[in-house]
Amino acid sequence: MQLSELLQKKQFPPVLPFRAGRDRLLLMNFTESNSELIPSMVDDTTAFSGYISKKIATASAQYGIGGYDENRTVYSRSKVFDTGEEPRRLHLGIDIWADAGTPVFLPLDGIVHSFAYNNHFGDYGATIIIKHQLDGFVFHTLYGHLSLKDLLHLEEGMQLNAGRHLADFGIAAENGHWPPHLHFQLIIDMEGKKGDYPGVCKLSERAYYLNNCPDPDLILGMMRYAV
Amino acid sequence: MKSILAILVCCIALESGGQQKLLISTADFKSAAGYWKGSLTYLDYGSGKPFSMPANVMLSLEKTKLVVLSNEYPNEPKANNRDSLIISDDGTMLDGAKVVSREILEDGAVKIITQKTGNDGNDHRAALLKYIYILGKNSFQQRKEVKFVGTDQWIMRHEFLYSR
Repeated sequence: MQLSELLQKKQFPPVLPFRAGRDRLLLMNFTESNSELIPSMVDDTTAFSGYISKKIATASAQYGIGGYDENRTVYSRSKVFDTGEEPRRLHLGIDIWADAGTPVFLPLDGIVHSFAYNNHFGDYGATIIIKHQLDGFVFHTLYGHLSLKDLLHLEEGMQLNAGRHLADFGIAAENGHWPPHLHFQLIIDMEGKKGDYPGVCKLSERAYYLNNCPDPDLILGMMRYAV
Repeated sequence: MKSILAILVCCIALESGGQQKLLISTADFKSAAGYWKGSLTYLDYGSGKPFSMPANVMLSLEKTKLVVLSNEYPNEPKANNRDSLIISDDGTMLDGAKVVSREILEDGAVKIITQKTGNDGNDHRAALLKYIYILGKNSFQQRKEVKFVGTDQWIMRHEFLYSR
């Protein structure tokens, strides 16, 4: 059995406050097909934040959401994603867009694998990675673009229970200079990395990374409500 | 001798199909609990050569299914970290890898071997991954070996060797 098959059979406590069937979720599009994403806006964090807030408010939505296996143009805003001849553009997590301060909860019991402040423009900012074991499978959940204060009380190896208030969405100054959002990603093999793991890969590496980073909606369970 | 046999019997359960299932628990790690000094040797894929450095560790048992390793690297203190090894609820898996061998060595140490499929190297080549743990009162070893798909050779990827 693969991890994805196991996760499909399980249900998890919510990662975010969300009332299924009542709260609206706006499906966000950060691909080339979105002509509203002009470089002058995307490169300016304040303007980019305003664009996202307006989209969510106009749709009367609780959150903007999307991005797994999405080929995104927005990463041209940061050199973090420029790797040699082929830049990284394929997104490996799900992003949930909302106001800074939105709480994030742990969906299943885990152990603090690592945490870090990845403080480059366009990077994760405050980041937490939790290790889980479920029916013999070991995997990790990564939470990026958090509030810096959320790292203060953590220690590697600390055991945390499902449902715990893990963190909050960070402001741009501490979340890697992005509009406030959560980057939520599943990772099977951390490849020895601590406090960081690629959230975006080269298209040529798609097969490996999607295999190592299954669809986060298997735990989130929110994408079916996105319109 | 009787007690060793008893332990072995306790650690082997029969599945309904008659296949033997190897079981482990945190008790296997108990004699190795505490502080160790030693070295880490790893294969540098860039140069193809092994590289060694001093490494110390504190092994502690947490709850019933969790082993925490607090790693210290005296020459690279920034790399100090804590790792965890999680035993599955049914005792057949260690940190996501299936237990394929468990034996008591002559000196009383427990030797556990686990395997799983995965990837290794900078190019993420598909491989079979083998993890070997020797857990004793006077020595503690952790070794990872890799056999790439399409090859027959096990390669030592890294090895921690510790003594009291």
